[in-house]
Amino acid sequence: MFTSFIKVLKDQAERYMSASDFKLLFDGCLEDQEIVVRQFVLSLVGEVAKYCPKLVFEHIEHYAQNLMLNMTVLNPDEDPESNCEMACNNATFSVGEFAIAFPNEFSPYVPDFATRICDIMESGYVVKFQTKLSHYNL
Amino acid sequence: MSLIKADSVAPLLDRFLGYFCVSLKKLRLTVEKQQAFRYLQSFKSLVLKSSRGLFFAIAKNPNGIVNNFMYLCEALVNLGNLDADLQDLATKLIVNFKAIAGDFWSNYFNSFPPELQQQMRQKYGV
Repeated sequence: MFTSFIKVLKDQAERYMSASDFKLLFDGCLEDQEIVVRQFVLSLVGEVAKYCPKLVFEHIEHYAQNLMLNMTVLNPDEDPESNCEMACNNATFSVGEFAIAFPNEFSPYVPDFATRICDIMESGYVVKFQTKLSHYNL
Repeated sequence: MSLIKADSVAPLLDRFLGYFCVSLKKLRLTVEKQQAFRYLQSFKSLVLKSSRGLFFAIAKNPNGIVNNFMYLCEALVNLGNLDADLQDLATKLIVNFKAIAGDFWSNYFNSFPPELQQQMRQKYGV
């Protein structure tokens, strides 16, 4: 429901969400053991940062930590349905939205996130990054 | 992230630039293939933001593009119309790279796929 609010109402969703227990619900989902439950909230927090930044401004560190925890990929044998990859993709999207929404406050987290993204691309576990790059050296 | 902290992203250029450019190309092909016009605006916005961030990082670490310059050229010729300042940055980047390569440029450029060479000549005059 929150996703629908944000997608449709965009910045107008703030007034409805601020009157709700959205953070409690978000945290409940983020702490869930099931990746498929976490997936939705991992992208939703990014949408909230984009359209309703006031709602998450006080909790940037909290969400940064949760996004980082979910930015991990597994060997396809261990994650045949790519749920982990999708969660990671959603978390990465939200990292971008937080960076744009809170340039000053989020900048301390950039080094760790940027390094983590490179690690993921080089891991060989993500199909879209399995392209063999030929280096055209000078 | 480079838009807000290019200093931290710049040292990683050599690690992500190739993947970034290839992924952007695949994404563009997907958007075009599916005639996904509803995604077109999002794609253009992504290109503008990411290109600007990329140039910030390159300005901090020009050496970071050496190994993946061909992929960067491929991305730049395929990304459609950039904003005027980005287009200017792209042109300066390519012209400077060519100048620094000096005598090595001809052989290096000839190792690019012929179609890319042609596009580079047309769009960037190299």
